[in-house]
Amino acid sequence: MKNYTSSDRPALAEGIGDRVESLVTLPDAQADVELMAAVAANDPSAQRAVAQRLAPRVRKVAGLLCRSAADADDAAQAALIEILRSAGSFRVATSLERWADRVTVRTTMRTAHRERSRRGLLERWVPADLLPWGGPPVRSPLEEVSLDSLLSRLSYERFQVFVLHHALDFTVDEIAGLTGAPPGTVKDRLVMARKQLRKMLRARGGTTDDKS
Amino acid sequence: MTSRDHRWDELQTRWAQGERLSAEEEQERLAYAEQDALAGKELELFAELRARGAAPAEPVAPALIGRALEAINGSPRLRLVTTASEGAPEAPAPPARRSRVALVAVSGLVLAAASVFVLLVGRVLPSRPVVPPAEVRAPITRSFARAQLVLSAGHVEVSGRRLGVGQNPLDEGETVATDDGRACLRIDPGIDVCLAAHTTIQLESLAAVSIRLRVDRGTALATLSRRAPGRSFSLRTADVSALAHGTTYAVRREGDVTDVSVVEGTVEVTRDPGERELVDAHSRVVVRSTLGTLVKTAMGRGEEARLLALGAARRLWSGAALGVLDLAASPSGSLQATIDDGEPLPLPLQAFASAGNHRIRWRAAGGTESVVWTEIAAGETQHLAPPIVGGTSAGTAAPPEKPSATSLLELARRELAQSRPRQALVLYEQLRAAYPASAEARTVLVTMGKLELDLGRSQRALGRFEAYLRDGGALVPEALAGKARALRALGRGPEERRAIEQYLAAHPGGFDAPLFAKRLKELGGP
Repeated sequence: MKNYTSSDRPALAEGIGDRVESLVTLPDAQADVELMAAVAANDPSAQRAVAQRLAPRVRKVAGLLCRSAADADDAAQAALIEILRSAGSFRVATSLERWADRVTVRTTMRTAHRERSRRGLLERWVPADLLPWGGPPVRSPLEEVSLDSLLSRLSYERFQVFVLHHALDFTVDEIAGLTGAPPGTVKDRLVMARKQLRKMLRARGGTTDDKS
Repeated sequence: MTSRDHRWDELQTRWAQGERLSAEEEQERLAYAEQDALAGKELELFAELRARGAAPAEPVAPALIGRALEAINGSPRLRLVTTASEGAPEAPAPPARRSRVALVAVSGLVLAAASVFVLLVGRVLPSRPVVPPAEVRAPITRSFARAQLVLSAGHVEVSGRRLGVGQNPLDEGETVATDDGRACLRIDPGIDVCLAAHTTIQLESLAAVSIRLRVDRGTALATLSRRAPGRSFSLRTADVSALAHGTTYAVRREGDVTDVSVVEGTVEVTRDPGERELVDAHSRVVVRSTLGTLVKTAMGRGEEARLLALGAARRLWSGAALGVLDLAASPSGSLQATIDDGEPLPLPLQAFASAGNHRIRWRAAGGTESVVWTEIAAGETQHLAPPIVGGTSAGTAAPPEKPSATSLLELARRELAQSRPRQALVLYEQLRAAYPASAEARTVLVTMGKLELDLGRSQRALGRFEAYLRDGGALVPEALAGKARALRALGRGPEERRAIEQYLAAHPGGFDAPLFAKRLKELGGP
């Protein structure tokens, strides 16, 4: 039996490099297909190799898409399990890393949706001061403008597409496929998120001519 | 804003929504940002976000990987993936220590000589394809087909144990036996095998090139998409093999008789001594272990319909997004369930089903029925308790099927925890129908009202709250508050006002009092 290690294939460049990869057949893509076939056949060394190779990337993507580290850990674990379970569906047309990104995004969004529903239910039934995450944060309009403060103010739908497009480099069509929203809606969310950013910057700068 | 500001805003908006700008436009966008502090800051934030996405991934806690691997391998299992290494000699023992200098010198000389030789040969001889010697070729990997239980109804055992749907794939050599139950297996790619009651099969081979299932007794119906060249699927019995490349057919084994019935396509039936027969659609061949020739006959429509009904459940897991439906057994064992008007199946029942709404119909032996709709989410398991199938007519033997009020409440709580209010409502309804005089039946009215409000069904919600308020109880404040909200949603202002006044009069320090006081002002009036 072949023993797989996480360094069977050198880690791929992240970001835009992967986008290019998806358009061509990689010389070692076949090795990944074989590796994933071994994972689908429950080969423990292949499973471990894939888990070790992809886990950091999965956690990073989940971390970008979740608002709390605890949620990101949960989502990353669920995504890793989903990747191993779906190994049989991996095809050579895309890089393993980019394929894993898509699985991670879908799983993370599903996990986040479930968590938000649970919180919504709890918020209806439990007084705000007893909620495990406390009440809504009190913010000053003059607080320091930072990326984190902007992201925390976006609705989850806008936050999601904003991060997917500007941080993870997914195209509008890809985001539409991942989120189930029409491309027009995705564009609208991107524009609105940007307007919100602009508004925050203007408020902090004391400019009052915001017409957006 | 100047026209230049407008221009930049337009370019930035187009860029931000994923539109590709021309080189000139991109230059214009960046040039403006260099001169405008606000625009510059905006681009900085975008760059920061992009940098986060491009940042190298940091190592993760080993526990994360460990937990994922543990979840995948619920039970320890081994599977041979590479066959070429079978029988390979063990790695030779490490050589005895030698002088390192001598070793390096000899290696260097050998490499240099080899390089010179290769260079000369490469120049003198014409190039030709390089074929590695057999002993250094990559080992041919034997790939396995994934086989998984996708439906289990009634008593079904895998290798002598109960195995749930959605658990680990099945291994080569494992047996699946249906006592009075029914089962279906999915073998990738595109093979469904459904077993009738009292059937035992063995997964003889799961090698992707030649998948073989042996029917020891009973009936197995296989439906498979066309096989790729060089790949085959066969159902076998002790002495007969029925090989197919893309068809629907069944093999029945009773005693020493094998009956191969073909519904679609063509099946090649062979008997051990080499006797071979091609069996076309709507035909069957009966083979006895004792001597006799293979005789083909036409298959009746009734028989064909019975066989097709065996595999009718396939449409349940035909979608891409699947969840698991888990219907618990009834205490008396007298209920059967149908899913989406399929065939009645015994309980307990577990099946993969496409994500979305499904209609479950429970049927008691006496003919009475109970129907619920349930929603299955992709990747999740939907548990349903047996319902109360009551109201049987005199003389019918349907026994009462009553889970306790506590268990129904618990199930409903589980559904709520999974954010499935519709399913919770069904369970609360069941509780109220089964135990109409119980305290729980009244208490759940308020919960039901709130859930109905969440679902936007304000009229129903109002009915629930009013039903609770008729007799009063500890939850009157919540019921009154809910009633006021339902009336507001229905646009019945004067009645909403009265409900709020009633709330504030009775519970001035109540949780909703501040909000209602504010709302009362908005409503105005006397």
